[in-house]
Amino acid sequence: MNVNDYQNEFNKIISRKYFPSRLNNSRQKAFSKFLDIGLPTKKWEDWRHTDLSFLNKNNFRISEANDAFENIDFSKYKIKNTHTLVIINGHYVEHLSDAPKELRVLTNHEYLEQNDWRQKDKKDTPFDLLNTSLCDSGMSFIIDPDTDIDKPIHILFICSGSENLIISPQVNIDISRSSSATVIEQYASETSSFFQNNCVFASVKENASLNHLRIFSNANKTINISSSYIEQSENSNYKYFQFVDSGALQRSDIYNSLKGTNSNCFLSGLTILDDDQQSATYITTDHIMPNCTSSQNFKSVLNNKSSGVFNGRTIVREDSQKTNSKQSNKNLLLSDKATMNSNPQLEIYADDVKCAHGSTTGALDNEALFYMQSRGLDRESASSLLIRGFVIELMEEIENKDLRDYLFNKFDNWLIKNN
Amino acid sequence: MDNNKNSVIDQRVKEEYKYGFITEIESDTLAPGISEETIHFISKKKKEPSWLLEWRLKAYRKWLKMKEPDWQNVNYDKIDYQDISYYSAPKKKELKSLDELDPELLKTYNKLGIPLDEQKMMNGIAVDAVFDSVSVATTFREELKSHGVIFCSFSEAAIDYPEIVKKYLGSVIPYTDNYFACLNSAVFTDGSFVFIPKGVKCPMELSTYFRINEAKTGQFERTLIIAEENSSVSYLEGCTAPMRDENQLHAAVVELVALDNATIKYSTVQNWFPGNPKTGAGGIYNFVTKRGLCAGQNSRISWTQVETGSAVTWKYPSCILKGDDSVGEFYSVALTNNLQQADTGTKMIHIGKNTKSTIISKGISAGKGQQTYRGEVKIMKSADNARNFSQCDSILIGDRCGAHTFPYIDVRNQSATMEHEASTSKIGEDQLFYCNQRGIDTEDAVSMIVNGFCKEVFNELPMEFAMEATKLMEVSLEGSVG
Repeated sequence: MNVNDYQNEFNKIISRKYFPSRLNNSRQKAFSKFLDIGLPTKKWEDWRHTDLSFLNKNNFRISEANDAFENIDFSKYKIKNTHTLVIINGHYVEHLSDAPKELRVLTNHEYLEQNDWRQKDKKDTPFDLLNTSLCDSGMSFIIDPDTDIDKPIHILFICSGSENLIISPQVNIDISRSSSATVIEQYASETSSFFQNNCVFASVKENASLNHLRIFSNANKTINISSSYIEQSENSNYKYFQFVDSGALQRSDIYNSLKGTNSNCFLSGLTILDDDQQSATYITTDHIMPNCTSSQNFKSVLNNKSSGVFNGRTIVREDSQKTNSKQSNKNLLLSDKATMNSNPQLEIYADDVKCAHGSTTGALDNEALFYMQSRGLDRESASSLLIRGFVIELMEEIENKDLRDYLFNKFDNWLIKNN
Repeated sequence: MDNNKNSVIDQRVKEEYKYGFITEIESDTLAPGISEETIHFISKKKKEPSWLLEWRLKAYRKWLKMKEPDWQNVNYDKIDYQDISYYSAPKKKELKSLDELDPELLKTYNKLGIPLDEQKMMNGIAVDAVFDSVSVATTFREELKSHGVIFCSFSEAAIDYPEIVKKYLGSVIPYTDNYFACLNSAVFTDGSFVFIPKGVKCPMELSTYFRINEAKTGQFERTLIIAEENSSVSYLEGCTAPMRDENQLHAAVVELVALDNATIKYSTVQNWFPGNPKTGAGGIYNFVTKRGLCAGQNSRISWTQVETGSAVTWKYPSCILKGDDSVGEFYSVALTNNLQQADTGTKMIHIGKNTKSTIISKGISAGKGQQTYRGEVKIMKSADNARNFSQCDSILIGDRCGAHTFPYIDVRNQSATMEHEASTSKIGEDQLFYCNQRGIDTEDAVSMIVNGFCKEVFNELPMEFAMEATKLMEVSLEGSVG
């Protein structure tokens, strides 16, 4: 897609009469900004290692009224003991969902209306601007104060029906003070090719906690670009885990601002790739207030021609004394064609802090393999034992047993194929 | 304890940059401005062969089309390239012996503690001294020559050894490399040239002292070191400049070439004038391109740097590990105090098989200093069994300074193993308390802890300079205790 193609899609959406004019104003603004800066190239620092050629070569279009979805077999996406909210091609499908009664589910229009039509702040990257200008779907939910939701909320994003759609949903998750919830976002595809460009906003208020998990398992010819903005207030906890196992390009940009004292955020993720899949994770953890703790712990296992990028950035602002922050990125290359770019970055402007980062990249340890083979294991089981050992540390951090089993199952299937 | 600390601070704050004097010496200085005429003038002054002039002009034309980079994590006022004088030299010319050197100049070097006078030579180090733009004296030349080692100023080398210069000039850093290297290629005025022939272990340490003296001049020197098969050399450079209110640009280029089994060790103690500690006025912009090529098998290039001066430092001494089994090393201590800024680090490009690299970087940030470690480790597809270890630690002293770490790790070969670790913290109150408790005052305790922190790097320096570096660190930390 080139800039003209985006212009055509934009013209289509702006001519749809059912959007309020206020929304169209902000769309116009965002799109003209997008035209100013253009699509990222490899010369942009944050896009140096992200290969957008698949997106640039293929054409995608926004959905029309006649793009209905087909019958979907939900059983394969089912995670036990969860409330499932189903979003198909970006649109929330109420009759397929079982939202818990404590959850106030709103459409994005309702949510914006409640908030005086103020768009949330974004970073103005080209894809965020495209999301603002092309967004026609998504959902929002609010958890009221002092509410604990026991069962995880499983948001299932499925692309189904027509091929080559551009899907630009926005999701707002508001966790009010002293509440807690577990939210699982799962991205899956029934169609073989689409371009999903979504924005997720989560706000975690005083004393609240959010356990956020994301599973990206899209088909091989799909592009999923996802930005998340997380804002934390005092004494809040945020825990994030992402699982990536497919996609022509999976790019996640995560911006986490610790805006209240004594808040914690723990981010982690596992990427397992094969063929010529590509995954890039860009994280910014911004310590704005003192006495906060953060960690980033990401691992990837790359096979064949796949490539991975980890770019973790931790900023410690001038007044955020007593910050404690860790970054770790470990990568295992299973093939000599796989590539990994790792940039753990620390930007520190306060002195009474403890910050550390570490990064390693390498192949399976030959001595360990030999040791196990000399004890009678065949090479395949030896290497699968090592790879499993490598990821198990991360996976065991997942508290919810049903989800952990679900992901282990996915991982084991991947391992059988790739070992 | 706090009162005690404050009086220590007051005392130390009053200490000033030791090398800030100006030498009253008659000099030939070209009027500010850059054009093709400037380059013709420099080339003519140096009696350079015509191919070198051509090369300079090509670089200049390329430079005109380039844009000044702005991605580095430092802020400085834009440089007016037409307001810099590109040539300045002490007036006396055609020296036959050191006795003919301007006594003022000798005094300057004595003040700097550089033993130019061979008679008084204590530590047996061959020195090439570069004053503003030209090399003024090179010592021990005869003795080195008897070993086959060529150690002279770059201008002499261009005339006396044109084939070697022509072969290697720009071979590691082409003039198109980056904005400042390109500018340097066009207007470089002098520098050192070292050639170690096959099988020779250079019998003594070689060193160059750089001094910027004239106002409104830029220093653009170019160093080229070639170590042929089975040879080895250790080279050291030191830099100082007077205190002036305006910023001066230092854009040097250093190229190293190591052939089979050769070893080059390059150490820098950089102490350019850092600018006024309170207002930040003046100081040197130190924008340097340094790169070594391990061209041969088993070759080894080691960079050691102690960076305590300059208002803005921006440099990445790098190694291209092309030969199989070659080794690249980078040891760095960088200190930013008051309003200094540094964006420094290294690049290790692994191309050959079984190549190894080690990066040890220690950053100390005090006052309002801002410091960035930026490093790239690139393991290319051909680099089987490449190995890298990087460690970059920072200490923060004071609550208004910053320390940033931006490593880039790019692995394209599965059999490579690479590790990177970094930590940032302040000097622990418990460590200070422990020292105080044992009768060591806060000032000494800080300098002890900092020196311990830097030990790994100082150990890599030649002995005499390790002592100097330790002392330099103490002076540069002035006023930061607290």
